[in-house]
Amino acid sequence: MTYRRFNAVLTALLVMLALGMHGLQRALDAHRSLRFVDRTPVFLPNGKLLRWMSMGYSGLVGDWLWMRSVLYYGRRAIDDENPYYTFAEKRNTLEYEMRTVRRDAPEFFRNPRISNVLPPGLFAFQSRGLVEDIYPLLDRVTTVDPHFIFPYIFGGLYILMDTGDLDDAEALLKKGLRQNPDSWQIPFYLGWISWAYRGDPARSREYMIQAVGTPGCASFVYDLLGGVTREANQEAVTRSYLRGILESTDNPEIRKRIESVLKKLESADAAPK
Amino acid sequence: MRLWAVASNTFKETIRNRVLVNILLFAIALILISLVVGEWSLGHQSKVIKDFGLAAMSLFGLLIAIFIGIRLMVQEMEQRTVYLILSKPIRRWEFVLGKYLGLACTLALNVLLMSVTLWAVVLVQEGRIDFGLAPAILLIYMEIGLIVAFALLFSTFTSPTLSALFTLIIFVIGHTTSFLRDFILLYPDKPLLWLFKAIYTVMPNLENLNIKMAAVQHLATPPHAVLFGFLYGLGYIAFVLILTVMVFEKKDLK
Amino acid sequence: MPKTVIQIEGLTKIYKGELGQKPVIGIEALDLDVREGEVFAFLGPNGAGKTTTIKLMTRLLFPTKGNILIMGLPLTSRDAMRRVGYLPEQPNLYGYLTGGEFLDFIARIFDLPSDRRKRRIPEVLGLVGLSDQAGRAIRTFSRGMMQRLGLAQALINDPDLLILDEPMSALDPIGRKDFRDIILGLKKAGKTLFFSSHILSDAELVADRIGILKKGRLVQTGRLDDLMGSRTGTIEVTFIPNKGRPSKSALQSYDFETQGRKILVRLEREDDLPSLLRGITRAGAKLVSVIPQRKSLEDIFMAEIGR
Repeated sequence: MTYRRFNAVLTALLVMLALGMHGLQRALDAHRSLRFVDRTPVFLPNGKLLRWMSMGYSGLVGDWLWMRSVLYYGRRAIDDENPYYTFAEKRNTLEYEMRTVRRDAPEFFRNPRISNVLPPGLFAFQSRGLVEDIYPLLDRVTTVDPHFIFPYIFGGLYILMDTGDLDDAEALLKKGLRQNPDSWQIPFYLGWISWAYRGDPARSREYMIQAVGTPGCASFVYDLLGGVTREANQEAVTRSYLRGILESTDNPEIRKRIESVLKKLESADAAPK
Repeated sequence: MRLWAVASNTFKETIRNRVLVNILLFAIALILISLVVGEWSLGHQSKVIKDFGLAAMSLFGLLIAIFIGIRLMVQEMEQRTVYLILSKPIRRWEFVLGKYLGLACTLALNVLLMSVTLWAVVLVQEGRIDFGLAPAILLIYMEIGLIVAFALLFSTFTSPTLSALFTLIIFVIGHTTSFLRDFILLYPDKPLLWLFKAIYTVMPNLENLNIKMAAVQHLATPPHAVLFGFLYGLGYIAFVLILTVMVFEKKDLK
Repeated sequence: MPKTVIQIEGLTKIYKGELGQKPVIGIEALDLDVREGEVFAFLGPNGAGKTTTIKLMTRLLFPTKGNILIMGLPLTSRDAMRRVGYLPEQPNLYGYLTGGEFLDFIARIFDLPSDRRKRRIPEVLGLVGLSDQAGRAIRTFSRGMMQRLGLAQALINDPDLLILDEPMSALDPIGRKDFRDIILGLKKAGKTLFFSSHILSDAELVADRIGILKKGRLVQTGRLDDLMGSRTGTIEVTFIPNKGRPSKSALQSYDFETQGRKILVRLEREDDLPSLLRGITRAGAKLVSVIPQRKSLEDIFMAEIGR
């Protein structure tokens, strides 16, 4: 065989292989997107080691870890924007897959009035059990980059509303408070948790006092503190809290939920008791 | 016969290579250490050994590719033994393929040794031999084979240092393209999407060969995932080897 | 009419320059023939292109221009390469193999069936004087032994044409003599030999034809006898004069020098010899020697290269 013919045969083979592999890749990908419940283990050393390994680039490493956390969450949380979720829904495999996941809603709303209104509207608990590794991930993010505030809020509030992992959320926020005593947001959210989830107004008040004591605290917190002290109207306090959260968050999903609940609360308030 | 002559010669050469043996021992040590490294995973103690062990094998593959795979071609050319062979009635593609197959056999033996170690460790930990790991190991072997093929390709036309660098880059890209795909799916409105899609299509997706997760957790992987992954690996290896042959056929051996 | 075993026409090899460097000419417009049964010595200073030419002949390099035919066949033909044996310059062999294993490997590259391998390996080891080294690891070999083993692998397929690149350069005098004997033995067996060297004395002793390469061009080629025989040099006559005193008048016209008691006279022309001898006899001097000097290969070589 001449060299030219040999070359031509090889090139033809290359093209065929390329097409074949592309087909295989697509077949594999198609199946992968069918699977919503994805339990790829996240394999990372502990936060201290990561911080040591990042050696001066901790901001960067923290950012990378944060991005991974967000993608991890975004891939698994039940969310209309999550294509994996919508694919699985379309193909009707969601129910089958979710059977392997723990999904019972937690019971911790001590405040009966709140527990009537808030959970269905605000707290979805639908991703419960799907994002089991998110708190350890966020723990590592915050160890590597302790002054990056948003992860604390993400874990302390947003994820909490979806999973109901209350202890983890509180632990994360408390860690954030230790590392960032100058933040007013962290104690604010801790106060919210104590109020709405734990039903502990006294504890909630302590956190609000701490929040108010830090510089740069938003004004609505002062009003809230007054409300909590007076213990006047639980719905009112809850509404104020919610409005406060609404003011401090840009996340459209959260805002949507809060706004709908606020509407319900306001109409319930207006209705004759 | 010529091809097998080269292959068996390469096998003899690589099997007693000191660097290879050292890296193998290192990998085996890692697997054994995994018995102690419980806290590294995010709380899932029981599967950490398997995760770790399989990861050690994958890492072994990368190191082997860089140290042995590159050396395979480079040494022949530096030591001028290649002149002796290619001046004889053997086709150059037979030489390339023979070298690759010889190394592949050595690697098979090494992977087998590591697998036995892993199974032994799992036996100690769980009290039983987990044969479910076998498809994952098979695909890891394919992954190693692919990385080595790349190393061979690069060493045919660049310096050993650059070859090592390129091989490492391929490894990193290979494991992060699926990341890219998630990105494409989750954010379909980002600019330059076509570029990311192009990169994703071309680059070797080593995640296709990575079913460690499923194997470790005994998730029911559809049977075709293993088969397709295997075929993908085989196809890509063939692709890279053909490229290597094409480069090597016309190379002046100064 | 003996067959042409090697036929090279217009062979040119230009190496493309590395980044930013000019292309380098390896070989330029080389025309060369080697006939069956000849021993051809390819000479030239280092860097002249000898190894390049040989690599072009053995398909290790690809020509920029020109044609090579081995036994009338193009180089892509496997039949041609099957009948050729090649020994590269200072070969390094696989240290981890034994001599016997290595030869077996090479034999399998030639597709020799196993019975033929079994026969041929000891034969060839005997030819190069390594019969008892078959089981020894090559990494323990001396330079000379490696060269011999290299020759052995070149002979394993009983080739009709042997191409050797600087086969004797790294050997000690004993090794070189052994090699020369082997080469002469192969020549007697009817093989064609093409070798390159920069040791002129070796070439002088074994070659039939030579070619001199300078900076990629073939500047001289021809039969050794023709090149050297045609240019006889001077005749040196040595004698011891009577009574230790040469007669001035007699020696006036000659180019001479005194060496202790002896006097050395260099005659330009053969015709002057009889008169000189008569003069010596008449003077009663003692004649020691009369030696006609042929031009040495070195002279021819330096003449070409020096230009």
